[in-house]
Amino acid sequence: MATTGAIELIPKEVEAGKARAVQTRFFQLGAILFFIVAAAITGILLFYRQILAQDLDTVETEAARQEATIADLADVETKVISLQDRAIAIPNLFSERNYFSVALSALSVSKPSGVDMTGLSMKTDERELTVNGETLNYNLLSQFLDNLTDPKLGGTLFVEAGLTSVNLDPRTGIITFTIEATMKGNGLRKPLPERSAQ
Amino acid sequence: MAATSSALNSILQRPEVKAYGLPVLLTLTGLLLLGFLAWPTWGGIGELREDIVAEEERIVSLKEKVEDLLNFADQQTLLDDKFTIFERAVTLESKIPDLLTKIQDLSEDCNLSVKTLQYSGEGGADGATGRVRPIRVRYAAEGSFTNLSCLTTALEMSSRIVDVESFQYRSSRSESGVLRLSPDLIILGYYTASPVLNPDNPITFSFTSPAFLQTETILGTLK
Repeated sequence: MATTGAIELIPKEVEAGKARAVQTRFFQLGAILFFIVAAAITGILLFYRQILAQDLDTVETEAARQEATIADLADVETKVISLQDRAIAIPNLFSERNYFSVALSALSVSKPSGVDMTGLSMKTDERELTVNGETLNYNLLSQFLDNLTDPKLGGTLFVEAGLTSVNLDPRTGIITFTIEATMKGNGLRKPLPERSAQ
Repeated sequence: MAATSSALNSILQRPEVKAYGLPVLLTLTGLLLLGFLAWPTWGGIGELREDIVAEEERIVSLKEKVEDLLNFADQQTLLDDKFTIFERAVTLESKIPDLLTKIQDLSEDCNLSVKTLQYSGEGGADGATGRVRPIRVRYAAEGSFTNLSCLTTALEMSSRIVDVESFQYRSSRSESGVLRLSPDLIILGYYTASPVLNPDNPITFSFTSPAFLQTETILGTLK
């Protein structure tokens, strides 16, 4: 049985060569296109960076101009900052201040005449206060102790007062004593004055 | 040399080199451009944009600060007046020696005879409030209880702020039997170092701020 087939006039090698030539062409065009796009992207980015660098230069110049203006006002700024520092610090200093005059006043009003305070010791933020004294009369010493915690006298400050030592000098009749008094918590502090109304 | 040139020539004349040489070269060049120029440039652009935004924000802050300072400059007289009062209360570091003079004056006003008046170092860090620092002065004198009470009150009312840290006295009797007290006080004065100016630090102070008004009121009660 005879078979028939299409007669191929163009040799297969020639067709394959044409196809390769087309592929090569595409590859060449693709490569050129890729290069152009890459170059364009690079160029645009470089150009954009250049513009941004100029913009940065401009804003830096402006910032430097502002800094120079601030530097010209350094004297004003120094005073403003100094005021600011002090405005923050001073109320703190006063709210934590111990007014020892309060203790001296409380002792003074509590002390009967005939009693001498020969020594005194107190420290910031310590509630204990030590008083050394002399008198010729035990009753006056007792009265002094009572007065220290009397709400109308020393009791405005002291919550407790006790003798830690009493000695009588038989030659002179002088009674020397030591009292330890305990102050109220924050008893030496004063409230801050009210702010002036605006 | 001639042999090398001839070999190179024969390579360039090959059909595959003619067909693919230039495209491969262009592709490689494109990749090199993207990898070694475009990509780093893109990164640099990001940084530049961030820098510009940051600098623009900084300019806004600087302009606000300039405006604030100009406002204060417009109120120069008021600023100077307040500064004088506040600076008297808490002095500059350079004026620390005035503290001794002030204590001596107060002491003399209260008829106390000063025996010792000397610096005993800076106060501890716990006594510091911001840039305000304490400095200790040891004070010893001679006088009566009334004189001492007077001094204590005067120190508390002084327009130059001083605190008493430790208070004690001993006493002795004169030949006439009068009790003479020998007070020994540790006094704290306060000072500030000159501020270090930084253009980027904003001005947060105002003459109407509660802290300023409070301080002004406090200082108004002092002599």
